[in-house]
Amino acid sequence: MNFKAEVFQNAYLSQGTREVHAIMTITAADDGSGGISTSGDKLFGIICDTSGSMEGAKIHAAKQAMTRIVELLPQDAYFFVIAGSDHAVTVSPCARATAESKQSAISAIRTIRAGGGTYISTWLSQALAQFDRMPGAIRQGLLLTDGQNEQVDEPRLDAMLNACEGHFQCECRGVGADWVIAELQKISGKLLGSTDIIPDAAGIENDFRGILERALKKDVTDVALRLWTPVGARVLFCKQVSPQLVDLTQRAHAVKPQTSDYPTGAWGRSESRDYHFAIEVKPGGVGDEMLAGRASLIITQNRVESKATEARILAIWTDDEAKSTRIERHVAHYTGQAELAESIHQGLEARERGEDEVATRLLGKAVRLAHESGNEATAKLLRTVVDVENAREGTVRLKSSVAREDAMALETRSTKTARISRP
Amino acid sequence: MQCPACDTELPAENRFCEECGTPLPNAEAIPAPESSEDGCPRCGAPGESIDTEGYCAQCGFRRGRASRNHFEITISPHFAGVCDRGLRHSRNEDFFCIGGQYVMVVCDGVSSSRRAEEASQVAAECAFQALVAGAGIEEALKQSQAAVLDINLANSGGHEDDPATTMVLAVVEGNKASIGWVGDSRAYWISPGGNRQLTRDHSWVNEMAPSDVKPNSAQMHAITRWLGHGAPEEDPCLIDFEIPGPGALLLCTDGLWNYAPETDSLAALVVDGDAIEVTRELVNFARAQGGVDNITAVLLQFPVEAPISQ
Repeated sequence: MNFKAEVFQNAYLSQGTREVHAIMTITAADDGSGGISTSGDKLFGIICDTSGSMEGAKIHAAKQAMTRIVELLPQDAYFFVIAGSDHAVTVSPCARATAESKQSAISAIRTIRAGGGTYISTWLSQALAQFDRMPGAIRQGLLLTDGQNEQVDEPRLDAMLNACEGHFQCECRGVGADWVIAELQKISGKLLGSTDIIPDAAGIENDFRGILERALKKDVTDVALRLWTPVGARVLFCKQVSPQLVDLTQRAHAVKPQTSDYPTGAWGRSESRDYHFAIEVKPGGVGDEMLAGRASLIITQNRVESKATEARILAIWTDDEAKSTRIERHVAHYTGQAELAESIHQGLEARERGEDEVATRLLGKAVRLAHESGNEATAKLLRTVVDVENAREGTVRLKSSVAREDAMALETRSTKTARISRP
Repeated sequence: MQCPACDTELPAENRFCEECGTPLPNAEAIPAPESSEDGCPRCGAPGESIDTEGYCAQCGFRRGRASRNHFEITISPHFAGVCDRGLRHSRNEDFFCIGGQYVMVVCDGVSSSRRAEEASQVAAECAFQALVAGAGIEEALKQSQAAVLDINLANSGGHEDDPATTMVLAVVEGNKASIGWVGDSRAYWISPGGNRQLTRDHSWVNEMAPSDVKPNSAQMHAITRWLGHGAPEEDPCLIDFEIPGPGALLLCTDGLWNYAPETDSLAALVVDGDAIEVTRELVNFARAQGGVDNITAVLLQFPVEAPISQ
């Protein structure tokens, strides 16, 4: 498969300007012309909360969903199942998804019982051991929980996340409304996945199937975005902005002076993502042209790095204001999408604190931004929390009673961005 | 030797005093960082830091930018030229080379093409070298065309926006001037005995427009011939011009003549004085009029050996 990169920016800066913004679109395509060889093996790991709070409908639905997932696995995939509470139990160790191993896994899943506390660090530790058996495979985890991690486990969880980083990717799902968004987002963020809510246990199976389908579509793993910047420059931020906002700024791993890698995980053919770079450079004089950044996609296979694609971010200083004041529309669009997510996050926080006026203003702004950018999915989620009077102007009223699940769904899903429409 | 500040006795080759750190006379002998074409003139990085497109791998600045914005060449009091970015364009895509006995080449990179500034420079340098080596105008044009096509593009493959440039070039031997051109950069003969535009623009206005149609400004500036990819294969336009007496040969780009489209109004700006002063004045005139395009003016005054009359 092949990767293609395209940069959208207004390279023209007014005299003295230091900040350079650019959107890079990376598209993976399998046009049959060779390029990057795909990773053959796929390893799918299920990590399921079996603490006492899962008792009843939730554990029943989770067991059913896991059984279904195991049944759906293609013969050439590998999988494992871990049940987590005070400690982790490997219900079904890493094995190829043959009819026999599926059967024995399903029998083992049947014996799962809920009980005990929530010590997520132990679950991840066990998962790490399983994933490390197949370091060359595409390694996708799925973590389901319904509650909060035990306070005492927090430092251990942080350390374990550092140990797991780069070893596998993980999607996180919270079932019900008693879990903590920030906690799961910490895990999914570090492990290059997303966090989402499954409001009703009946929805677990469907959600799991979606995750498995997406995982099976991945073809290459351990892909990094490598950014070179000139001496004296500073990366203000590096974010994935589509299909979902993921701030990668703090994830920079210095390769050498002036060059850092940002992890992007596994890619599937025909996948496309957008990244937003903001770089602060030493300003040049009028007429000067600078290479403000060179972004490339680096794929590591068997410890050998190969460069899949590259694009340049430029800065040209001009005294022509007609050129320098123009904001490139991709940059404008994604700046707006980031503002939309931030307004929702802060608006919901204000609402939680009872600051209705602030919440109304911020959520109203979010409604307006969602409307302007054509982000229909987010607009719809916003309507579960506010009554919209005028979407264009962003005038809203807070709903008097909002289901906790709805507010959580809005918060977790507000990071999904709309793709820029064609001009 | 002794340190001039603290009198410490030091080995002769020291560049700084070991005691007090005072720079010694030897310090000045340290060669300055190479400002040659090899290194980065901005940060001093060595030549290998410069990538194929001229960007420095350390400071990121593109080489040659600053000097490309405005440069002047004076060969003699009668032979000089100025090339200037103007006020509106972010880069200077004009270029010129002069020298020899007497060779003049002026190019205007087509701004809708990629790396136009490189096209104009590559073409002008190539033609200049060919002419100095004794090639004829036609041969110089042919070699320049090949040189522009040769510009290495990262993702080349014959695109409409591949590098392209205009060119006007002249060789003067005795009282005979051989002149060739492609596009709308011009040559003029300017003298008290009468002014003449020697070239005829390869432009939409001249070659395509029905005579009764008043062209809009885009058509006014559209050229029908150029050097580079997709250049029409037609016989080159060449003329021989006999220098009739005292006067001056002026080569310029449209950044200048656009502000004085009539030959006599342009000629009125070519005052007496050193060639470099006159060409500077021409460039300043175009800048004062708005400077919307890059501006190049190159002047050779006749008789070429005469003392300057002030």
